[in-house]
Amino acid sequence: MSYIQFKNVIKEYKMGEVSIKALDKTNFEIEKGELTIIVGPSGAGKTTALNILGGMDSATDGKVIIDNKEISSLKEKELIKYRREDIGFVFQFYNLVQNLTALENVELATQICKKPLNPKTILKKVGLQDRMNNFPSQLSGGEQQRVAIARAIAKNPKLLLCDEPTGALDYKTGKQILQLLQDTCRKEKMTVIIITHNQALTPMADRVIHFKNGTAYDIQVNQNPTPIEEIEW
Amino acid sequence: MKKALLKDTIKEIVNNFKRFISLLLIVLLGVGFFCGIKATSPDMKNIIDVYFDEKQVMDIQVLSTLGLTNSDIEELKKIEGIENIEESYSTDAIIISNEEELVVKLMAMPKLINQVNIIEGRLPNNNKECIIEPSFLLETKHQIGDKITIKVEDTQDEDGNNKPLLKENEVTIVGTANSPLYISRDRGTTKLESGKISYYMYVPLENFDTDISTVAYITVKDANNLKTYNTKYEETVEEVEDKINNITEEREQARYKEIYEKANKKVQDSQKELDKQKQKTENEIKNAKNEIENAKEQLEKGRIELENKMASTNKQLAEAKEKLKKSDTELTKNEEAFIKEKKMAEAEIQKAQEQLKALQQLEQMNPGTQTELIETIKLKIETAQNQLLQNEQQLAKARETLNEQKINLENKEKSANQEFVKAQNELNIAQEEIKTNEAKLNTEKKKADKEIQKAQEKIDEAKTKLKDIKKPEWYVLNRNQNVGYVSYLQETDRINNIAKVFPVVFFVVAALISLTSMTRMVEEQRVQIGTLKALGYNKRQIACKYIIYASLATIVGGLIGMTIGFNLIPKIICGMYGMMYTLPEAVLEFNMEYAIYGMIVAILCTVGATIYTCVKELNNTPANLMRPKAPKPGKRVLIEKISFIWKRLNFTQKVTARNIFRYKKRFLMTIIGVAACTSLIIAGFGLRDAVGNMIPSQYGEIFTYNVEITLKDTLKEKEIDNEYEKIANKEQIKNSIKANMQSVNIIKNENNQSIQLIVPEDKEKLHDFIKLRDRTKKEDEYVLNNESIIITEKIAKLLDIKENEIITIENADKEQVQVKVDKITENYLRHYIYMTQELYEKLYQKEIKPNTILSITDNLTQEQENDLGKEILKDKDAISGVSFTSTTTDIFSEVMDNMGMVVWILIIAAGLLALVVLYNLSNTNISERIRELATIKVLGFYDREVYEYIGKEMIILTIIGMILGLVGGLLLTNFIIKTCELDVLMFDPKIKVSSYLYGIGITAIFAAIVNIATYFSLKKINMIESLKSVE
Repeated sequence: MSYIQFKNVIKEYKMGEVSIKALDKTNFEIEKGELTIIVGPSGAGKTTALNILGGMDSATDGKVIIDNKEISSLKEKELIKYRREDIGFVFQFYNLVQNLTALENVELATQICKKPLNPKTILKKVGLQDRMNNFPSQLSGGEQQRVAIARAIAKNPKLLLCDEPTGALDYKTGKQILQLLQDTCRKEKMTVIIITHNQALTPMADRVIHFKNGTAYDIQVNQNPTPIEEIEW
Repeated sequence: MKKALLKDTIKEIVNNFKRFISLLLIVLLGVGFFCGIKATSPDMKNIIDVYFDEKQVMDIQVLSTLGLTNSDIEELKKIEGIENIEESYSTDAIIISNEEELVVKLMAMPKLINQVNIIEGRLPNNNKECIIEPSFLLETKHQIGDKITIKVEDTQDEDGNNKPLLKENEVTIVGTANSPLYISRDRGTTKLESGKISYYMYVPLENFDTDISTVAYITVKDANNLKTYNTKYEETVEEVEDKINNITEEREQARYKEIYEKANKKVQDSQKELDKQKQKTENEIKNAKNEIENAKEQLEKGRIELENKMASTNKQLAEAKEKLKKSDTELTKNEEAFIKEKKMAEAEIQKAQEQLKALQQLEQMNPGTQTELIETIKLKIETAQNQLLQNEQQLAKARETLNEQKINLENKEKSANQEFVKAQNELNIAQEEIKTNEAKLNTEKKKADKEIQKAQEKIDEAKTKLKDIKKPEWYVLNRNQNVGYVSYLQETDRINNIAKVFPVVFFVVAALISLTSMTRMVEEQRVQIGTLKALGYNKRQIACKYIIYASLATIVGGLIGMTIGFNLIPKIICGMYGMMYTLPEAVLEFNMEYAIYGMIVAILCTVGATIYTCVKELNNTPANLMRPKAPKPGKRVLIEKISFIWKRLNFTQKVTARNIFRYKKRFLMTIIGVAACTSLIIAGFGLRDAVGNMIPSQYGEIFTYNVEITLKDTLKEKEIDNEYEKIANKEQIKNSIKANMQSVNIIKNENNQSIQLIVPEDKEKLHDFIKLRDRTKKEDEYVLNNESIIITEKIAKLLDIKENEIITIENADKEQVQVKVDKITENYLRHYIYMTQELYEKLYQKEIKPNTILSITDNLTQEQENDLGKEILKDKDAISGVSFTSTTTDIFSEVMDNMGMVVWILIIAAGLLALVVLYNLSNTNISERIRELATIKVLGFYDREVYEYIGKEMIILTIIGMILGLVGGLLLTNFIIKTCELDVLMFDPKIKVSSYLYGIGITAIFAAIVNIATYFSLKKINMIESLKSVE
């Protein structure tokens, strides 16, 4: 059985009389330690799927099983616990707490985990040993995203979910971030899921899931993913 | 404004309803409070103005110590500016209700001026009817239709004889009414009974059987159109008052003359009468004396006559006796001679008989011989015998005659004696009679003399009294001498003072809230502003939206606030005062002036804040605006530099610390809001403490005596001691002290406070009745010495008198002395100076005698106190008044109930303030930091942790606010106390710890309510929506 199973997941938003299905019987599976890229146009349901995976949202119907745990049936409090212990999130706009330094932003995450990694070590790993005590406003976009990734990784999660992590970054910095994510996946054996609308990135993934109109219409498995530095777009 | 923008504005209100509402609410509070409190004082004043106008309450009243005559009234009528004048009669009377005697103010039913407000029943139609104030029926269980008896002092008729004042003393209650002259509970004092008037009642003027009125009520032309509390009114009335004052002297003189002449004539008449009487009495006595003299003479004459008669009679009798005696002796001699003769005759007869016998024998022997002889002898014998018999008979007759004469004489003597005794007796009786008559005359004379003397004395007295006839004094009083009216107006001034402070707090908070809300709103819509700017809208057009938004919230909030404020607050406050003052329902007015002021200030606060933020943002370029605003950069705070503290903080504490210092505006607003809330609550409770502590402290701790007995000042030293003994020996009384109390004045800084000088007879003993001590160090008790005085705290404060200062004291006789102030003692009600007797006598160079007895009683019930009071007052010649301290205490418990209401108003206001501020704060906080909050939720913070993350800030700020509020509460309480405090009293500025605790506790409750709301709104934050994009 796969590490992550997304089975017939339906997500329906009711807006008055009209109901919109963001996800319509979506099915996919991801194996442990894989780097997965979810790709598709805007409004295809990528983020919804990711939110459901991350315990930020719940499915209207269907089953989501992660590491033999059915998260689609979790209650709210259990969902928080799930997010707290098993999930690391990276957003397009970093969402760092402005009032906290880089280190503190990481600590914000580690202080609530059971088995966190050392925040300073992680920050060193992402190459920010010299900027640990800087506030987000004193960091560049790439550096901020690194802090965000460090914050996500430091929790030592089962799953690292990244929603357009390079969306707000320039090409070069974006590439560095993707490199960092790929490295994290490879070195830490972490299961990483990245959402992007950039088709060009797909070769770097172990698994590519194509989204369209609320369903994963195609899933490719790359036997030999390309290192990110080799990809150009 | 363009249509699209208008639409946008309306939508904005709908979308940001919470913000709109909180803005609206704070404006509502601010404007509501401002308008409400501001309007209260005018409304309260208005009530009295309308009431007084309606009831045609007098503007001026003229009283005279000797009453007003018809000519006085005529003179008054001539004065220009007087609209109406009504003569009236009022006196203190006793009515008997359920065997209890109650003192009432008995007044003549007003016709035009000072009309009463009928509450129940109707006005009296005739002399047998009366109306009385409503509380009488409530408190005595009497009903309309009941009959009551009025006891009232007699008046004098033209000749100065007493006659009943009332035509009808038994009257039927036909209704109840309130008098506009008595709006407070104070009914004044009286010389009757316990000295306190309990009720007032009205009977028709016709029931008073007198020509003289005690008072003339006057209304001044045009005064009715003026507001009674305005200076314009006072000026108008004063004008007429001055005119009246101009004639007072003349009228006083006229009345004096009238009375003097009348009295003088009476004195002269009675002197004449007396003189006549005297003359008559004297004549009568003279006559009587003469008569007695005559009688005496007569008596003497009679006595002499009697004596003469007795002498002559006695002489005659003695002569007769002598004669008789002679006769007796002669007779006895004759008898003796006769007895001899008889013996001889008998012997001869014997012999003759023997001869005869012998003859007869011879005869017998010789019949016829001797016959002749015999016959001769026989004849001889017979003759002799006859002779003898005849003699004997003669003698016997003579004896008999003598005896008869003797008896006669004896009888004569007896009767003469009897006659003499009788005559003597008669004489004696006559003498006796004369004696008694004489005695009678003497006593009569004495009596008459005495009477005349008495009459003369009376006349003399009357004559001296004539000199003592005091010139009548006219009192021209206006409404300002009406205790109820004046104290009511003072209350309104106090409310007005409070109205100056409270709204400020609310407006400051309103300004802060608008600032934070509007800043947040403008910031949230940067992109839109940028877009509009890019589209070519000018700054004004863009700003218009926010200004309209803020204005709308302000205007709607302001209007609602005004409506509520103008109606609710005056009503509540008037209602509170309604418990102390009998006035009609509040006539609430929409006070345009305050409405406009309030609105302008509110708009300045909110729109000002809006314009300020708009200008700040609008000066940015559109491009800049359309980019997400760089979040406020994080900064290290000062506290981080103190590493030993910083290190000790855990992570969330560090975050909290940094956040607190990061948002200074919010920091300020929360602290001010919370501090204001706490301050208001503390002020409420503090005020209650201050007022509440005052009386128990004054009459429980400082004045430990229960009753003050005033002695008549005519008493002599000995009588005072007697009276003291009498009172001290009463079983209900535990301890007593004699003291002299008198009103004095301190000459300093235009002082107008009257001060009571207490000179205890025993300075050591005073301690048991009055504690002299330091307010802050209560155990520090003072003892009087013979060099200096002790004065009370408030007057020292008012006149800025320090210990060891030399002050000048003036007594009622205007004698001034200088004396050193030794100590300043704790005191809350009225002003006192304490001085030893020795010092007083040294200073004034005259003796001082006690005029008051202060006593401590057992714990008595109200009834027992009344009984004791009556019992003491029975000694009418010595006691002029008895007052129990419990009476004062009772009045104040009523005030305390009212303070409860004030506390409630303040708590509600404070609560609303705290709720609006904290809710607004929490809302802005959440909306401003929604991404941060969503992020930590995504990170897996539990709801409680999310709440703590933001709530800790609020809690810490609330606590800081509360701490500042403690200080603020103290200051605010002191401010209110200072503003509200009357000169004659001092509130105890000591705020109880419990009041601080209440302040904190109640604030905490309001904070908790907001925090709970925050918890739930945090729970509802949608992570996905919040993090979706920057836009």
